[in-house]
Amino acid sequence: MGIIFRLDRMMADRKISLGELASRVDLTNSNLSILKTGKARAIRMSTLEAICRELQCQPGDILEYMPDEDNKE
Amino acid sequence: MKYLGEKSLSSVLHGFLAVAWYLVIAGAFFIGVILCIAFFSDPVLESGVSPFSKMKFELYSEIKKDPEAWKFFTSAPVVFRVMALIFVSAVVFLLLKIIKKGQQIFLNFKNNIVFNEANVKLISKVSKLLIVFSIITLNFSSLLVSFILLILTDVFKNGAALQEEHDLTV
Repeated sequence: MGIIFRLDRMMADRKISLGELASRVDLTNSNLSILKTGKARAIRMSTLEAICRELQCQPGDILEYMPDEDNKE
Repeated sequence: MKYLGEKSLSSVLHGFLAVAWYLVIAGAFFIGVILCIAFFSDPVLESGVSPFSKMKFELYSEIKKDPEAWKFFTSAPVVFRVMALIFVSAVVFLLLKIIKKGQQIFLNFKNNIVFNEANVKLISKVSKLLIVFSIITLNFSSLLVSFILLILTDVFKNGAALQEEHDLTV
């Protein structure tokens, strides 16, 4: 998938742990870990909103588009 | 009645298949012994002291009541006798395999594991085993069941894909 989650970078910038962010956005540690490692297939708008609110950032700061090798011309 | 979890229909069916597993083993052992005696040992003309010789005598007395069957048994070539034993062994093996796979499916259902790849593979295997079983035994009702199971495999495959999608949506 061409979309990459940059959650780990934002969390490091804000000096916030996985457990703390999980409790603030009302997610389980395992679900946030799925998001952090890029295994997630989809993200709910409410989750994205909560993460942006807690990390005080824009969706573009945690999501990045990188073309796949197959899609490159 | 609940369908999943402890004290559910799946739990009851899992227990039922566990009993069926031992019944098939016991039945197969009994039929195997009778077939071996009928096909490979000499007739016993008198009832002996041991339970085995008594059983042998009773079996031959029973067969001798029907002279045609007795002639069929005694004149059958060794190849036919061996083939008959292989046929019975294959049927028993298939039955045991189907029961074991069914047990695994209901155990997964009992543990609330429904739509996943393991169950898809198990149901697919059961349907294929049932097709072989119905062809060997010429039982066409089980062939119909196996076709229904093949359709169910596709349903479970789609269900597993949806479940994975749901689990990975954060």
